[in-house]
Amino acid sequence: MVRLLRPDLHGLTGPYAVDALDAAERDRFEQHLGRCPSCEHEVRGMQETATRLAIAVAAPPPAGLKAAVLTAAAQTRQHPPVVDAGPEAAALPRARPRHGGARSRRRFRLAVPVAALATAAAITLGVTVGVQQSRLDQVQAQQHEVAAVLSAPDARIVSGRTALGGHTTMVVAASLDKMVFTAAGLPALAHARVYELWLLTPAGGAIPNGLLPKASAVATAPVITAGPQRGDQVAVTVEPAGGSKQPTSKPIVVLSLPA
Amino acid sequence: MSTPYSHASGVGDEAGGSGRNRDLDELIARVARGDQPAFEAVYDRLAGPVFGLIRKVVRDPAQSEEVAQEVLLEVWRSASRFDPSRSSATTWVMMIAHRRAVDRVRSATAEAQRDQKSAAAAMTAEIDEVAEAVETNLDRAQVRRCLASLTEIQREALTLAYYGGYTYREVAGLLNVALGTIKTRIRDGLIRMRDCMGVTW
Repeated sequence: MVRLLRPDLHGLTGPYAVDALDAAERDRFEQHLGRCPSCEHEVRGMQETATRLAIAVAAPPPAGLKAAVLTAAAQTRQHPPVVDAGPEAAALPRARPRHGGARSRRRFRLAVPVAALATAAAITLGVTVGVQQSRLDQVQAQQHEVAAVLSAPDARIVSGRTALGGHTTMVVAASLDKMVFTAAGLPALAHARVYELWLLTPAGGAIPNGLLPKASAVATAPVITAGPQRGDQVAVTVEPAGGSKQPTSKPIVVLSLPA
Repeated sequence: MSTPYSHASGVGDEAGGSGRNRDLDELIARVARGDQPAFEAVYDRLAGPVFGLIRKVVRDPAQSEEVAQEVLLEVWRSASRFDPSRSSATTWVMMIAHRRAVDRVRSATAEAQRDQKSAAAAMTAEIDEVAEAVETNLDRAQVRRCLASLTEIQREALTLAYYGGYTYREVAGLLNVALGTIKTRIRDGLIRMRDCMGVTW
């Protein structure tokens, strides 16, 4: 029996279950696990036990974390499911982030947190981009407003791709009756055209809700506007410079809050 | 006019016991299909335990927040890899959180060796803190009771490894106990905790 031949490895179930092995030992033990059903069973029970230790130290997360995570998720492509039954695929379900094996997984791990931070920074700091010094006070006030929406306990986030490419994201804080709207990857418009935001009411009306600032290469600065009321949808259209009182073209994107 | 983004309703069903766990499994399955409201519901359920565990291991609040964000984003990205036949959804998420927290402190350790003696002293205080955790929280009360039922060396070895993020070799050094003994104490401690808390597999 494997277990009797490798008593040293079998004894590592505990340290393995609480991540107390160094990388080399962990690799060795994982190979052993695949051949030792009793070890695997024991490890699973221990991992569920460790979860109880985790729940016992639960703490309220920082206020801004939720909006940062939801915003980053809305702009992050997900891994496809493992469908191949090849040797590497078979190892994946148990594999934790570190043990994907493939180089591309490693790179991806590094790239995404950076992207997530960049996203958060773009939303909270983006307002300062390209702004005249004289408008600093106004901008700071706007930053506070943006931060208040992003950190509102009832903040909800919805994203959608536009018909012209790129995507839009809105964070709505119903308690503040405000929303923050950002766009990324939208094509630059001809000089005399602008992107205009709308609130579409359930009755079929369209209320102008401000213009999107000129896009930089990466993203527009976030705009803060009145939030949608219950049942409202948020839309963007392309309008003549200065904006319109009623939409004059089809929306390139329509976002709605989940019921 | 159709919306470009589909969403499901009925997230956040607050059933009790294992119904609640199954519910979380189902939420993760929906997250795997790109369902953002489901992800928000998963966040609401698990961000507290994720952040609490990471802060316990990493300590520094700013770094803890950073790691928590990485972990929760990893849940979004890898939801399709969650296999309910291998672990509960909560355990899957907590394993990612613990691994990332440990990676963070170990890479930090490589840069600057931690003062092991003072860390050990701090951990003893931490253990007391867990032991004194709020009684109204059933999980905390149970963990506290079960930790108290371990031998002192089992309890120290287990908490230094799990909450402290130390390897068992480091734990052996901290407690000045033979390597083989620490290995066994961590295992025995976990088995005793498992049985004490009625975790079944």
